[in-house]
Amino acid sequence: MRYWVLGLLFATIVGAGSGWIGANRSVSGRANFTESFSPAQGNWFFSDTVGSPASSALERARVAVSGPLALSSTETIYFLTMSDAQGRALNSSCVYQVGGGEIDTRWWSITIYDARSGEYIPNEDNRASWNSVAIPRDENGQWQFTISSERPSGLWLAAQSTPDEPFELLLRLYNPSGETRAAALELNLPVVERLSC
Amino acid sequence: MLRASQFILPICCLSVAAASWYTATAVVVYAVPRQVMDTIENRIMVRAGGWNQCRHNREYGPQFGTVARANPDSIVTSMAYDVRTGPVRISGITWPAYWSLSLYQHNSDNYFTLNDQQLEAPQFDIAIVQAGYEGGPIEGARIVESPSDTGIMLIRRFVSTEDELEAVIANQDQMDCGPVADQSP
Repeated sequence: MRYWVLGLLFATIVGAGSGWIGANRSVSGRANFTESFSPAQGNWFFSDTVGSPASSALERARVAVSGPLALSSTETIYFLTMSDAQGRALNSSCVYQVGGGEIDTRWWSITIYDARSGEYIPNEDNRASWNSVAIPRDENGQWQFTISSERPSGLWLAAQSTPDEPFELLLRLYNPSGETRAAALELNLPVVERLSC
Repeated sequence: MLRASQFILPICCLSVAAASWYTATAVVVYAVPRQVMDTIENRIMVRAGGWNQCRHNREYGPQFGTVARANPDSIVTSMAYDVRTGPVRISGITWPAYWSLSLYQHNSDNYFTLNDQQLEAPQFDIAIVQAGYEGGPIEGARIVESPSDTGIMLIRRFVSTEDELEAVIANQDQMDCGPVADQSP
C-alpha cells in the first residue's frame, strides 16, 4: 500500500510539473509565437487566425503572450519576419535595406520590434515604423528604407544600439482587398536585404 | 518469472503521470490568455479612472510599456468594460483615414470589429451588453452581446503623421463612453 501511495504521488507531481513547465515554455517565446504563422513569400510568415475565435487554444495563449489585442483577419492581416531575404536572422550588428511597392490594401505599416521583448526599440527619432501614407516613393511607386543601429542617409528605422540583438519586422495590412486576402501567401511582400555586417 | 501483477503499479503510475501532464497543460493553455487579459483590463481600468470609462492615448508615435507588438501608427482609445451591472455605451464620430472599433472577450478573442467603411454615416453608437440581454433596444445604439462579463474595447485611428494629432484629440473629445444608466436623461 505504501508503494502505491508514493508511486502515484510521484507520478502526479512529475506529470503535472512537466506539463506545467512544458506548457509555459510552449506558449511563451519568440519561436513558439511564429509556430502560429505559415510561410509566405520572402521569408515572411502569415497568420489567418491571430486574434480570431477560430484560433486553437494553444495559438490563443501564444498570441495573448506575444501580441495581444490583435485584429482578426477579416479586418487586418499580419506578416512577420525575423530573417532577411536569404534566411539569415535579423541582427542589430548588420545593416539592412527594406524595399517594396504597392500593396492592394487600404493602408499598411511596417514596424520594427525587439525580438526578445516584443517592445519598440528606443531611438532618437522616436520612430518604430513606416506607413503607406508617410513613406516617400520614387516615380515607379517603389519605396525603401534602411535598418541599422547608426543613422544612415535617407529613411531609417533604428535597430538596437547593442550589437548582436535580434529584431523582427511586422507588416500589417488594414482592410486588404478581397484579392489580397485570398492570395496572402503569394503576395509580393517587402524585401529585406542585408547590406553589411 | 515475472507476474502480471508486478506491472500494475508502473502502468497505473504512467497513466496518472500522463493524465496529470495533460491536465496541467490544459490548465496553463486555458489560463494564460485570461491572465493576460486580467492584466490589460486592470491597467486600462486604472488609467481610465474606472471600469467602463474611455482612456484616450493623446501622443503620437511609439509608446513604451503598453502591450507587446503594439502598432505605433494607430492612436487608440481603450476601455475595460464590465457589463454585469448593465449595458455600456460608446458613441462618437469616426476618423476618415481609418477607424475601427474592436471588442475582445475575456479569453482574448476579437469577437467583434466595425470599421468606418462599414458605417453609412460617420457617427457610431454601440452598446455592449451581457450575453442573453433582455433589456430591449437602446435608442440609437447598435447592441453587441459580449460573450464574457468583462473585456476590452479598442478604437484605432490611423494617423500617418504627427500633424494630425490635434484633430485626433478633437475627435476623441467628441466621444461619449460609459454605462447606459449614467447617460440616460
